Amino acid sequence: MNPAAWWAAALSAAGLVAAIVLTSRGTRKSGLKPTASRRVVRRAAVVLAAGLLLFVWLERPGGGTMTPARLAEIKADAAVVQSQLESEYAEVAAKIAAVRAVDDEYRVIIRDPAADRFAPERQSLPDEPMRVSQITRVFAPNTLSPGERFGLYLARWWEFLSEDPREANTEGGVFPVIFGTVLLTILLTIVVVPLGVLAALYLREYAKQGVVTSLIRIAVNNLAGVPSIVYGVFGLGFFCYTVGGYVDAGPGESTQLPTFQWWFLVAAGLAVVLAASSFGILSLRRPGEPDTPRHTALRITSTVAWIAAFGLVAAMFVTTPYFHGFFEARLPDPTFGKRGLLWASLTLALLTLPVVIVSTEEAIAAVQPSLREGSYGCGASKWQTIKRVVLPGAMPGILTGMILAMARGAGEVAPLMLVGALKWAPELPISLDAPFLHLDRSFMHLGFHIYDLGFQSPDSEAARPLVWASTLLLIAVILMLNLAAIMLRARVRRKMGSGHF
Amino acid sequence: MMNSMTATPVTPEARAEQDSSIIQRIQQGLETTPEVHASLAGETPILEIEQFSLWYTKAQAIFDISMAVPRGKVTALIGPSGCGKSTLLRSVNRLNDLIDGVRIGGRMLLNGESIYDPSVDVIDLRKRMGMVFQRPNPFPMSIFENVVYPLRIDGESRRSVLAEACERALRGAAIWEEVKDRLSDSALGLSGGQQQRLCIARAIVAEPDVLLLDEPCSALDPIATLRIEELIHEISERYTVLIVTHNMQQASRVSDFTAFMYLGRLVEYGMTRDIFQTPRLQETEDYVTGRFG
Repeated sequence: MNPAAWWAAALSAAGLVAAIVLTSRGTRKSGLKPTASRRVVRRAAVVLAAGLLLFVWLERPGGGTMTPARLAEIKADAAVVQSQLESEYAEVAAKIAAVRAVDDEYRVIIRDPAADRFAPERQSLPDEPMRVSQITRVFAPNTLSPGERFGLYLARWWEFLSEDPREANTEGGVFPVIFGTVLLTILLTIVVVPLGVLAALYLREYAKQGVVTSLIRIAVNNLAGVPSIVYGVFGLGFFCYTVGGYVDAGPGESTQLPTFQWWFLVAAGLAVVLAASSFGILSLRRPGEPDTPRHTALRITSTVAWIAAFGLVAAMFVTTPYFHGFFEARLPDPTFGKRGLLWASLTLALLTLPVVIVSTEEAIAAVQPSLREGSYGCGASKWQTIKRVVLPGAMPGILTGMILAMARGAGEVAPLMLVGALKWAPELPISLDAPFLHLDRSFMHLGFHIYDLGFQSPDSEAARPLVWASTLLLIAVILMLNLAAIMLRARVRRKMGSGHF
Repeated sequence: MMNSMTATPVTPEARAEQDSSIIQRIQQGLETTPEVHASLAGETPILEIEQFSLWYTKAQAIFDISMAVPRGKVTALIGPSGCGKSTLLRSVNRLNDLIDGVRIGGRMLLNGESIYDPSVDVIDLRKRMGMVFQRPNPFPMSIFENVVYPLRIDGESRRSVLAEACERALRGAAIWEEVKDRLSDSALGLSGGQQQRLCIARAIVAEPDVLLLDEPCSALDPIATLRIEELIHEISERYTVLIVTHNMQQASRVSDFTAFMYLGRLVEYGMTRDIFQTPRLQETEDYVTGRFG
């Protein structure tokens, strides 16, 4: 990069930022102000400044280069840490081997005197007696008092709720499974509610009611009827492999453009955005002005330009020479480019999106027009009215949509089989290691767990009680999530002091 | 003032003949000349409406109205339902912009500046006018937040400024004593009359140039109505008030000037006393005495 060009860009970026800051100091309450044009210029300046700053940052002298000395230092540090970890691992492995050896020496033979049989190690090996390590609890059922029986019952429940599964899921608890289910539901709610509310706001408040919005509404309603396994396939193909692969490795070598061509693309994108917004502003009508073919033509041109701008932005992402993925060093092992919690919650968010959109739209439509008029009458802008009056008024309805989405999402199994649920996930998705919430990890899910226990288990006889218990638990978990959401809604309603909805 | 007193007296027969022709002309959709009293000439106008017309898609709701609203006075718009008085009021702060398919002709001037000029920021315009609606419409938030809403959206966030403005507005709306201990409670828990006074407090908190009242008492009981009327009387000392009302007695009690509208046209406009006691047109007299409308 030419240093002179870089300095020119840096200086103009700084000047632009200064100009924006200086002109943004208010000129308020001094007569009737002129409108749109100044704001457009300001917005264009902000966009331009952002682009320049990005350029200056990416092309900064010496930026992003690594000196050999520093590299060697980092490698040495890593080697020390690795050797430490390896010695710790060897110690633990030796301990495990010792315990195994002891375990192999002793067998327990529990005879059934009537049938001359003994309890086997597992049903597929009827001639091998049990190992000592397989005994988890010793009690004499016939001598237990009622109190002790109840205590045992509670202890079994606690074990079921708090421990990891053992013996290929046929014994032990389901704690990671509950954990995964709850976390997945919370994540999908966090994603779907803002997305759905924004979509509903657009459809109800901003979009011109016409053919296009009708088509979008029909599409949303159809989305609610798509079989959930289809979402799973889409999630696997789009989220896991396409988006996840991009996050891991950036755009492939084949699609990357040379630096100069890419910046040309960026400039083209900026130009198209500016053109689209100018056409859009020109197509606005003054109050009292009739709609002419000129307005319609401008409106259509603006829409087409926005679509082109969207395409250009997508192209910028796909062809950028600057991005090589966040997890380049771990390749070829995928980090996000595989099934995982993030992609599962995004897939389920898509699945539950129609529910949220429809209920939010209805809630927004139910906000009394007199409240909007009151807000506009106070001199509020459209967004201020929406933010301060419409959305709070629609909040109980939005929360109803959220509850429905949670109920639907928490019980889905089919898409999860494809995008992330495993029969056995060794680690919880939340841990004390940074970044604490590991969205790339696989997880366990109650719905999938029930299927796995019932139909995929090596010992389905032994797993049968767990199927019933897990099913009850799934219903209980969904019930509790819904109760929590319903209580939240009741709180919001109380705070607003209104009983309708 | 002088002119209205020296207006040539007309015989009842001549007046009846003239009036019936005016009402017939309006009903037939013909051009009419409104009877504007000369008493208005002595007032400084804050709002001038010049040959203003308004259409909802195809249907015309307001026909060529010209009138000047005097500064610092209470002006009432009266007329039978559907005569366009609310529409005219909502045109003043461009609330009709929100309705699809509304077209206008003519112009309105606030302090000599055109309201409908394309370069005017409608948001800023509305901030200079307070509006109170037929039904009390407090927002679903606390009493305090309701009152300071216009200041909040204007970017004011200093607690002390807001608290001071809130108290001033609530005192101005004669509701401070009733709500001062529960400012953080929801405004929806107030009674209808209190809610309407709260809305008046909200309308005056930003010190507007003009206060627009759209039948502010039509949803209230007689006692609450009385309180609001007293309040309008009080605040008229500081603000210009334009009030739409269905209630003749209310118009005669609270206003200094009265405009009588019929089917989207201005019929007679003058001092309230003159309109109610010595109207020039038989039509006006019939309406204010309840014989028609």
